[in-house]
Amino acid sequence: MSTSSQDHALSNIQNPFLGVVIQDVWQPLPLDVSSIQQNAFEQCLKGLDNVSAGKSDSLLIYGAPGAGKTHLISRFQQHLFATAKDAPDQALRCVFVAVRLQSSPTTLWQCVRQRLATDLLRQEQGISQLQRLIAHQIAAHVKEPPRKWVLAMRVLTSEGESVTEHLQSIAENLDLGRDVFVMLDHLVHRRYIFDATAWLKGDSLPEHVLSKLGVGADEGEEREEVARRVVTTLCRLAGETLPIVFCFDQLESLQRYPRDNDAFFRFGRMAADLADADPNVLLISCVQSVFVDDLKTNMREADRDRAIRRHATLEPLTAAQAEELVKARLDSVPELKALRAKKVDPLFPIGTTYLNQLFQTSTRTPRKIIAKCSERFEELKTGSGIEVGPPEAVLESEYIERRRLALEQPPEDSTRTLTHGLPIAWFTYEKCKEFASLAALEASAADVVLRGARGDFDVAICNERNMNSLAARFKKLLRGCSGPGAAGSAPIVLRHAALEISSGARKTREYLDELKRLGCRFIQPDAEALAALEALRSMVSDARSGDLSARGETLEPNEVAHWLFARTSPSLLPLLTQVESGA
Amino acid sequence: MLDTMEHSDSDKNVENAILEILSSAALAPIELKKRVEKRIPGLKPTPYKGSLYALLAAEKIHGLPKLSKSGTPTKTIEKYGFGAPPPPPPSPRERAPKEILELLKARALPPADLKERLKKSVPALAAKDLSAILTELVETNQIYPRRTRDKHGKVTKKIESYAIGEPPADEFIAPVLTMWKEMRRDAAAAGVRDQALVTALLDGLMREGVSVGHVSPGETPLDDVALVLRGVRELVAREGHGALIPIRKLRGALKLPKNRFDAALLDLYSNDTLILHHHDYVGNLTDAERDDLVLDRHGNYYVGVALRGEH
Repeated sequence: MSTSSQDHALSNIQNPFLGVVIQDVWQPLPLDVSSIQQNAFEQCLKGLDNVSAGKSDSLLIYGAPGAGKTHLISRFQQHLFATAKDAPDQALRCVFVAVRLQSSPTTLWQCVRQRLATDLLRQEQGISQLQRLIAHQIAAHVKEPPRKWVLAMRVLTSEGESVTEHLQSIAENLDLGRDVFVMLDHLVHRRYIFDATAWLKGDSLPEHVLSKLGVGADEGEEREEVARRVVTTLCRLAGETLPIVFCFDQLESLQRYPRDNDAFFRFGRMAADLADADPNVLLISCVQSVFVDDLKTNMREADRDRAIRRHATLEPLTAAQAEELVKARLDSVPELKALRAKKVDPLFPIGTTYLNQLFQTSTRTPRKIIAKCSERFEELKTGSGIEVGPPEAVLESEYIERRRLALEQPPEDSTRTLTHGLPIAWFTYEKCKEFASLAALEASAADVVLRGARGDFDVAICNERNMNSLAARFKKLLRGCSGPGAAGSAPIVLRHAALEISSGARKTREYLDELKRLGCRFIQPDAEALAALEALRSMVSDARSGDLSARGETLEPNEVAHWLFARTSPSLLPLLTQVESGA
Repeated sequence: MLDTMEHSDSDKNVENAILEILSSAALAPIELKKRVEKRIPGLKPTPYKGSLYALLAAEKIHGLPKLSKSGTPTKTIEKYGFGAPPPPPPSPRERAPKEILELLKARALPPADLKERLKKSVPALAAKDLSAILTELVETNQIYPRRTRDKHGKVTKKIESYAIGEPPADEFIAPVLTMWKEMRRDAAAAGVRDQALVTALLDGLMREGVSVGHVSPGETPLDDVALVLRGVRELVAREGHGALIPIRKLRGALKLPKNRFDAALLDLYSNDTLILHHHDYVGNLTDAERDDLVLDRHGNYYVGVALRGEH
């Protein structure tokens, strides 16, 4: 076939190489070549076998950007789902939790709590992982097959039969605590699902909602500590009857700035605690090869022994795997498959010669091979070299889309944006070169420590919806700047502009006035500024994780930061200036 | 005799339950008690405590004390573990040299940075001990202090960083080579051939008391490949199956000249014996850090090495 007739044949065929980065492990994989990263996949299965036998295990998976870390986790999750029939209840082999660590190292437990609650409440075949878990517990408690109780859970409602009594015995046995028991009871019986879910995730709830749910008021306890307690409690609930798998992806995103080694130290502490919560816990952590050394060096030895018992490497593709990958993609489009059936070259229209050359010259990751083949396919379709936009165009469209999505977020979600995003923005806008050790935060009631012209200063993020919690938080901050042993300097308090302080919250207002009197500045960023900060935060984090790419080439975090710096955001800069002024 | 008689079946049950539970994981006292009580319903505190203490006394289990912020053990038991108590940890003074070498294997560190990192792993190390250990490691050529240079390029007394091994000679040879290039050009203009120039240089060095050795003719690239592969295997065996070995660490362990080391590693990668992991962010690195990586002829930088199919 001549080039022009080939172009014509391809012109109406969809490019099979579009869609490169896997963002969510729960998404069905569009295409999976099982021979790729088979070794690492087997290590995941071995980990599950170990914890199923009550033997603690943890695995560090490392690889280059685009080697397929998230794809592998997704394959593992889908394999567990596909083979669930082999489980004792023929429905669930383990509890699976996937955590993208785009969080501040100071709020790690809160991030894990949020993901654990979300994934536990994920529905499969009309029933959540949490309901299955409780079904297993009840089955073990009454010595009956789990399958029977899984089926019973499917039809349980708030009006019908109750399992409260069984649940209470389990809660007593496992020392779950009253609040967790009450919330599990609501969720199992499908009562107040929205609010109970929000409680389990760690959201701040108004007083009347807490009262409706029947749990104690939020007394402004240390949020990380509460999150740690809830997570380890839920692990106990899972661990007794089913393995629980935590997959931590993008460990490098925890870093607030390059070489922020405190972040890895904190991760090590958290992972070790989680590993100790129950022998049935399997930890799978994914990190880019470049960060492996820093990660291991900055963990405490005792934590490293628990969090990284084994390693698995994501291997560059072999020539045969690259060919298999390209073939699979080409055959995923039926019209193209039909056209290819008549061709001699097994890699038509990409061409064996082209792939061989690509394989010899580029780094052999699936992402790179797919991206280059995508370009090649477009060239063949149009019959000429395609015009490739500069990376700046990719960054601009990413920024706009992320800011748009962030504008739709509820105000509470800005807590993560601020705790994780502020230090990243501070560094991006070159307001400092590094930050104080996170150890400095341990004695403080603040969430973030930033560095200003006159030294370090504290920032407290106070997005509590519950006025009692907010009052307790303000009181704690007051103690920090005026009580005995107080550090002295008043923190900056940030609260989303859309979150009002109700007129009846007399104590809360009093405390805030007192804080202001002591020199504390109260700043209320609006949705626009926070959306810009969220876009910046997620782009820098993705770049650090190697998940921001243009034409298969990973965009360097430095490059992304410089672009963001040069772009200047009219809504974000005033917020940063406001935070900085007087600091 | 009395002990044996009083050691009833119920005590044995409690002891067996404790041993079985702890054999799979170390547990906090409260958690252990709960699990034992779950297995033996109606268990009273006194027999439980009795069995626990008996097992502790017989060293069948041990208690791990909670550590204070400074890392010293407190009186509170954080966890109970299976088997005899582990030997007491070596003193900070004994542990510190190993930790320093481990830290410096990863990268050269400024003294303040080294001190801060060391504080995390050996919190109770006294300042005077640290100073003595550093002196000892330098004197035994295990590490070296890299000193800052003043504005004229002269080496000062101030230590910029500590690094593993002996100080590299490259930076001192660099000006010699610059001068060599100039002199070679002048010599060529004067009709002196390269061979005569090299012979004269070697004679000059010998007169200065420098013994000029030759590269062993038996050291072919094939030996380098075997040496590098053995080095990777040894480091992987030490770090654990499937571990990633930083190229910097492998380079430091083998001490091959850079060009030979890089060539051998790329050779092993091209025939699929080893996996090289590439580095996408070289723009962030200093020249020295970049020089530590391996660069292939297509411009790809590699940061770490692992064995293919090794798990």
